[in-house]
Amino acid sequence: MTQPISPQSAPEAHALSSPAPTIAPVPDARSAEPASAPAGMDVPHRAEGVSLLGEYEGGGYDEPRYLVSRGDGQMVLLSRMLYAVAEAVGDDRTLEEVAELAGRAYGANLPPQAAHYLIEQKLQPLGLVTLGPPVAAAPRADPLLALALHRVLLPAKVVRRLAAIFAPLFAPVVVIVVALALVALDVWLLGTGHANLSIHQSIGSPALMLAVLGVLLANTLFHECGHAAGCHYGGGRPGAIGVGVLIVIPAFYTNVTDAYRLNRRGRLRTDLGGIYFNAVFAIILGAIYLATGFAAIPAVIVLIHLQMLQQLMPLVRMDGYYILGDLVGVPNLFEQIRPILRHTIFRREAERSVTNFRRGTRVTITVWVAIVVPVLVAALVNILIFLPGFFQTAMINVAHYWNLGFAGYHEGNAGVVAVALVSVVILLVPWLGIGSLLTRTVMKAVRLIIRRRNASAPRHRRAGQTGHQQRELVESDVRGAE
Amino acid sequence: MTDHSLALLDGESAELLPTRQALGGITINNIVAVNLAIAVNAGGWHSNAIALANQWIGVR
Repeated sequence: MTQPISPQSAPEAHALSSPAPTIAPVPDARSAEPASAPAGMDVPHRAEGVSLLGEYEGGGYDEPRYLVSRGDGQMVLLSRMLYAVAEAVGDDRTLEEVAELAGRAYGANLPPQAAHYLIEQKLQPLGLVTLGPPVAAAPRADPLLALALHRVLLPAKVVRRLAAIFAPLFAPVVVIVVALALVALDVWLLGTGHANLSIHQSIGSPALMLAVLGVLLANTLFHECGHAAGCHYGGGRPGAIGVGVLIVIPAFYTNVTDAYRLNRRGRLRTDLGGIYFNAVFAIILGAIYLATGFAAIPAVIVLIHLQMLQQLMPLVRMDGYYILGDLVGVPNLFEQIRPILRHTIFRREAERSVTNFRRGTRVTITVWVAIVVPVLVAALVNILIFLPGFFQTAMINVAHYWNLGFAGYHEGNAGVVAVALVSVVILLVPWLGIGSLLTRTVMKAVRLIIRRRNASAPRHRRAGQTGHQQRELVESDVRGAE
Repeated sequence: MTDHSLALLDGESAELLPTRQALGGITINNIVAVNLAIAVNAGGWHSNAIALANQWIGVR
């Protein structure tokens, strides 16, 4: 697990563990004019509930990144200098003291105006440090291709208990045994032809169909327990398990945001925990098949393998996406699409977010962007072109299964009713997902327009200064230092 | 130097990280078990169910 850079209560210990900075030094604070922040605003405060979590281990950046968590659970990734400033804030230190402490920790001199600038422009808008009244509503990450319409099924408290129960499955010797058992099971099923036979014979009655669906749902829930247990095994605290819709796919989820603060190994264990638990589930089913000979089981095992392979695709936020992100050390790959495209396709000057990556990381992310963007665009075009046809087919089938359910009800056939209801739900879920995606896209666009409009207006900075005036102040302070 | 320093300050990154939700897709559409009366997801997303007299499982 990551460690804080230094104890929060020991100012003298506020020294970043990394080597001296490579950036150009900021002018000497001691020779600069004193900060001219208005009275009452020169003592910055860390926002309530903010925790400094230390270095983001295994990052793919040239310079280390640091994690901070807000009181509302929102994680923020900071550069070294910002983290040094955030770490220096506290114990009623004045801006001058914060600047001196942060500069010492960073290894360069930082004028108070520069510290003020960083706090006001970077840390305060994110609700981490305040110079005046607290930020009313600090922003939260709101990725477009995230899970929508989510509802909690198991609260965090229950999930943590389950995670503690299952965590021993991550003991190395158990992992080896499970891997060997899975290989043996697969070889046996394929070699003896049991899988083929089962696929061709097994599914036909409503009851059997429901049983297969039930087992697959149980497998997916167990998959989530795997993520939670993996997170717990590495020292993290998993959150709730719930259900939602990923674009058009219904999905269970486990909140493992706390895994950000684990080291790379811990994060990868959390990512792979779901697939690992699928393997455990398949082995248990294999044992049941050996004991009972129930014909449908090999077909279900084949389907579980397909689920595992699907999870590994790094196109949307499935397991493969997080695995890739953790292998290259970049926690939010989708955020890199825009700067990579701007730089590689439109030949704009590379943003710092791109140049800050190590070479290998940058190449890997560029290849990922080159694959994922065309695939997602093609999928979107496909959906848009065939949307009317999909909708018509879905509605015809909803009507069909609705009528079928009624017929089953009148005949007293509970199995047919249940299958018909499940069918209707399956048919409607993608449309709920599309509706949610469209709504969020429109709302994001509206927010962006409003933000840009507001940004074009003069911004009220502090005590009557405009942003331009404040920038002038920083520049004059720096000139004074020179 | 001044502009350079300010550019450096502006370039300091603070990135909101999304909630990390480990997903498990409920891929029941993998099963396209077709039965004229009781196909579960005959009209499901991306499925191409055809009503046949025989039972079969289409795997995507």
